[in-house]
Amino acid sequence: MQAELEAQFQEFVRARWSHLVRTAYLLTGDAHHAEDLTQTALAKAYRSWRRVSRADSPEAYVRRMLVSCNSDRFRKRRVSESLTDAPPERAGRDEGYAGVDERGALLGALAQLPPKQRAVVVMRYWEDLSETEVAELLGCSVGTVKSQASKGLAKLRTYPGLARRTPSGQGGNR
Amino acid sequence: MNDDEKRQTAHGERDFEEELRELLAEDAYTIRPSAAPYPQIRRRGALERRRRVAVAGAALATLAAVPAAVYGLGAGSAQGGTAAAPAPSSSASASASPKASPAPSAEPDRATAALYDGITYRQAREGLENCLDSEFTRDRPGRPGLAPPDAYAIVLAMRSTGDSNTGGDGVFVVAEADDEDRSSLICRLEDGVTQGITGFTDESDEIADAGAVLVNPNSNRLFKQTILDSGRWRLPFRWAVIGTAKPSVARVTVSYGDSGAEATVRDGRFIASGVLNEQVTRAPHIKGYDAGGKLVYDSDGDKYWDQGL
Repeated sequence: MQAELEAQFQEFVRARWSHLVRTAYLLTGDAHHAEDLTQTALAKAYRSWRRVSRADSPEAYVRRMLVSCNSDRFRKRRVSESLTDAPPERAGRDEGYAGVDERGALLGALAQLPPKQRAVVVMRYWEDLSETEVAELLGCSVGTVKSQASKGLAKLRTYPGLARRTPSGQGGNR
Repeated sequence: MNDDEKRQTAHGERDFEEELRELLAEDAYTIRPSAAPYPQIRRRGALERRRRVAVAGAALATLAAVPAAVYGLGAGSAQGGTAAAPAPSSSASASASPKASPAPSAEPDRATAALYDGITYRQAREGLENCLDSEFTRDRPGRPGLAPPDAYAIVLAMRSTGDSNTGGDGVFVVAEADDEDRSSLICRLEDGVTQGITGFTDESDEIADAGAVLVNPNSNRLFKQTILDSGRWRLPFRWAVIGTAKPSVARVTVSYGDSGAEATVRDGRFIASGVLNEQVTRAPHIKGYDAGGKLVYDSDGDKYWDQGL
């Protein structure tokens, strides 16, 4: 890779690494998997950086790789992940915060979703992508994104700990 | 549901979406990512690039000149054209199975390494170390990082017949790391000095419709001389074919010109080697059999295998 492109890629990694790891964490639910997944996605970006860097949004390419590699992880290695009662260990957690239970519940709830549905939820509500952008990222129709998001939200609402946040207003609000 | 209830439901939907955004953000920020491991990312990226090139090389098998350029063994220091032919030995004869030396427990790969042409395990190991040293000490930004020598097992060592592209005679050492990607190296040395190195990883699961046997696309140089010497190969010629075999394959045979070999099949890998004494125009013919002796693979029907040279 030419020095200029190399420097550009290095700057991209430096600037976006943490955010991408966080996205990966929401996709996988595991901080170590998240870093590994992000490394894999960025390695693929490095491989094609000349082309990727010319795109409007290199980050969009890397996001796509994150989702794709995460799906591969499930497909190829048949990773089985089971839920535990305890939420994952977290660094820098504010134990006094009232939302701790919900946060633990959220990761558990996300783990219940199929990989694609989870990706739709993460991309829509964490990355704040539009339905069209998510459709492009996942290579599916906008209609599929809508339906997957709707199903995903419905499942999340029924998960213990999040159930009280139902739109019917029967539960309390934070 | 009346209008009020509908409005309330829609309002609740939006509330839930907003709260979901907050919860996702809160969760995302409960981890503290380590510093970006740029060297590792770069190394993996470079390896990915090389791997993709290698697969492309396999797909473009009719471009016979590609391997020398793509796989990029170093130019080497040519030593003149009349290097000795492979020395006959018990392990160098056609149809011979790999001969393994007794196995000290400290070197588990000693028992499984296929060593030909009188090359000892120690020589193969030193060759590998020289090969890796030459990479670690060379300032070549495009090279991926490599594991230390003790991370690799010697898979094969055999004489390398020089041709118009690679220079003089030497030795090929093939080694494999016990890592997730099953990364491998092919090193070529002359007089114990590295002339070139090729690194690649196991890509067999990327080819959905691959046959039960798959020759590694990076290994072409182990069984053919450069296209520049087409029709005038130096003989006798020590060759080898390496690749992967699905679990259903119990036996692999290779016939090549006037020679043939029964492959060693182990852990989903196979290695076959023999010595050609005649010029060939067709690539090795490979067959795979299951435990019952049923033919489960024939390279003649493999779209990924170029039968020409």
